[in-house]
Amino acid sequence: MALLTIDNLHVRFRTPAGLLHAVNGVNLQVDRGEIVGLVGESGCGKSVTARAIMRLLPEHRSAQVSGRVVWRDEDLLAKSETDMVRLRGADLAMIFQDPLSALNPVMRIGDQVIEGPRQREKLSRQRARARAIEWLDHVGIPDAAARVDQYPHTFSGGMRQRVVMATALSGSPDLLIADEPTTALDVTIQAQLLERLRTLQAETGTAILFITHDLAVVAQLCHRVAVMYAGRIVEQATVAELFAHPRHPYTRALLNSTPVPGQRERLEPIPGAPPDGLHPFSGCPFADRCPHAIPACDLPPPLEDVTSTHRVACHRHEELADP
Amino acid sequence: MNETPLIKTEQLLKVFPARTGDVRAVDHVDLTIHKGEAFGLAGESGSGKSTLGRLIMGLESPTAGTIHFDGMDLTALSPAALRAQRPRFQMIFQDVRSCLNPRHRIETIVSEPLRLAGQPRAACRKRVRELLDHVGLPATVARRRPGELSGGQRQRVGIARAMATEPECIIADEPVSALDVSVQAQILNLLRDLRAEHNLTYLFISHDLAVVEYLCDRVGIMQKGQLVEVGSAADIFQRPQHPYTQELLASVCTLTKPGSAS
Amino acid sequence: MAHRFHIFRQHRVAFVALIVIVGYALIAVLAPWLAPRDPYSMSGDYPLVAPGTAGYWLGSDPFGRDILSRLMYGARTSLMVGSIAAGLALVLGTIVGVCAGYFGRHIDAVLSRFMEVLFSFPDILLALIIMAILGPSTVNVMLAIGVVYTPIFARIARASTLRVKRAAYVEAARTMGARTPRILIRHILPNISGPLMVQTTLSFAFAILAEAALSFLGLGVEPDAPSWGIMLNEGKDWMQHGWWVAVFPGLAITLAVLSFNVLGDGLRDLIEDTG
Repeated sequence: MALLTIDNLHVRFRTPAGLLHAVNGVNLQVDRGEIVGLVGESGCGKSVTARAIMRLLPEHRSAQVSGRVVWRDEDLLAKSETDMVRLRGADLAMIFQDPLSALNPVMRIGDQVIEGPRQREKLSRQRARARAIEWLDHVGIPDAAARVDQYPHTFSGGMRQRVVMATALSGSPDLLIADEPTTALDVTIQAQLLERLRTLQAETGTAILFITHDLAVVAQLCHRVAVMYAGRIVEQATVAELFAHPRHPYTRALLNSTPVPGQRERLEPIPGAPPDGLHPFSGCPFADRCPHAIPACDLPPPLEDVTSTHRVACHRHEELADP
Repeated sequence: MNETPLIKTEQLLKVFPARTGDVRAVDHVDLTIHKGEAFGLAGESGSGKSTLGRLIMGLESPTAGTIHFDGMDLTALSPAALRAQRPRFQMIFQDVRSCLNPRHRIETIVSEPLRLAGQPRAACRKRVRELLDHVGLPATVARRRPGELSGGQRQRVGIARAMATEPECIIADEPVSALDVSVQAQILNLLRDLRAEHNLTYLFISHDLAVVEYLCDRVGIMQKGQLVEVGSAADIFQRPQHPYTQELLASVCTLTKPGSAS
Repeated sequence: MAHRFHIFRQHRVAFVALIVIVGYALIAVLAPWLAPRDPYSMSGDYPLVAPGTAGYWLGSDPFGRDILSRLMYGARTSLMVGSIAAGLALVLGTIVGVCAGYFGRHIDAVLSRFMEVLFSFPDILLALIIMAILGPSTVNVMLAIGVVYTPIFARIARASTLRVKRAAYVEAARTMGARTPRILIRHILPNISGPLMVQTTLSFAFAILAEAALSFLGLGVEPDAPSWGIMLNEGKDWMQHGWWVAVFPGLAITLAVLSFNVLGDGLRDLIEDTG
């Protein structure tokens, strides 16, 4: 069943250069216990979508958010900040790319890991400390009992991101939004962290919305994937379907421009650059870079079902399907 | 490709003093790069791969050891003699936000190495147009400033600047890691084409093994300041010998493209 | 450029301040033509005339000199002292700060310690010491104030240089074989100019105040010269009989200092907005 349903989400920012259309009608569903990858290049609106769900955008200043974000029959966008504060951490948690700025440098890591639950559950000091050690151990911090009283600067980048993970998971949220959590890390560290995240997810059943630019990470971690371009979801499918039978020309082009191990034959880059969001368009956002564009692409392509789990927004997806 | 060494380091050592004890960023590295080859230097952050590139470019001075370029000991050259060699080896940077002076026009930026080599202004202007065209940028870019360009365009400007003096060798420090994949592919193909046209020698520094494999003939793997394995790209990626190389390759998330055998 | 102008319009107050400063500058330059009377000429017939009477719009001082004319000539003194002192501090401070920041090590250690010593004196005390040694004159006032404000510029220039010298474009210039003076002038200086311009504007305000203070204390420009500080000094003894003698120069100082401060803050916002 659906845990989170995003319905026609739009986000616009007022900038000195004009109105920036960052998210243009995103529809997405995350079910209980699944890992959904939200993938796209910089500026496609994937991080803004995540922040809109968490209500972290500057709504009173430059951001205009519309649509619905339904969390268990309630619209998060209609909630007061007080209600959101109660939801964040307990039901919804988020981790970010930079593990350094996510931790308070003058607070012991144990206190940070258990800060949320301690406030809500009124845990005793000893109970809180024991829970913190438990969580640090869960995320794979060696010698957790000794490190619980240390400060963030004594931890390496990978270890800090584990601490951040423990902080987010200690409140047993139903949904974890992870915004490029492994991008700043080395490959060996990234591999360990993804492995740990997968294990924890299987144990706790927390649903994850995993935001990344890296298709390979999606292939390795996620159950389902949504591809974003210019503030819209252009294709979504199970991971197996998407990588075996990509339907949208953008998804294909993205795959063709990514070098994979063993690749020596020439890459096929996507010509041109993505739209800047300052000039709204009515048709398919990818049309001007698409080798298959036809006049009909001036009209907006609806997100159509290919199979029950595979949807694509392209007028020509049937003609362009693999034989 | 012949086997004449263009760059050769011998027992190169760079120690950075630190409060917790000295750090050997580059620890007695012997590296040979032959004329015309694309050499990939891979490793994780802190492995010393960037420091090695910076030592060769003369941005850091070595604690011990020698760096030979085309038979000359760069560490023994006078500043004037080193400046005379500068046009022969150039560098491309990772940070596309800061690699171009934000106050200068693209024209000024690309012509700077030419002006430093003493070329007259009029000749520079013509050459800048050629260079921009060569890296796939419209001539109108010449009058703009870096802030008005996208990341991919800025890296093209960086490449045009590096190519201005027709160097024999280019040292590229993570030139595509700040770029999106679709733009990254454009730059990788550009680097491939330039090498083929100009018979360039590359020292290509990257943490991304797939990118190194795509571009390079020979590969060196660095760990904690040491060059732990060197070999042909085929050997390193298919038959890695060193345990660290094996671990590194096993950690890479792999992607199977539709249609490719898996 | 249009974009920058747009931002500037958002800071209307700063724009008003700029207009006021331009007004002061015009008055200073055109004082010989604008001033209704000779600022030096005394008239025994009209001492301490109230504003608006007998053709003295802002009144006259105890010696019968026209306050308005003296204020106009005083603007010359204030703006000249302000610009030359702030300019001197800018040039000296930038040289010291850029050298300390770029070369580092021993050069940095020596220059920074010296600046810290200067910095540790209270502003006016240091200026007083310098004036006491050099003797009162307009040139010496400018020198003293310039030296007093040099450490602020040095500190800003040093911090900015430390940031900019790590930028890849500076390294790129080095790999192309650019010599140090070229790097400093073409790559470092243009990129640290923003915060220095802000400080120059703010220092203008400080310098005007400092000149007034020194002149008020009798250690400033020549006593006979029209200076807002000297006018204030002379006026203070006559407050009961002719408030205008002290109040108008006081207002002139306040408005000028306020305008430079507001403009400096506006410039800072502008630089931060445009990166």
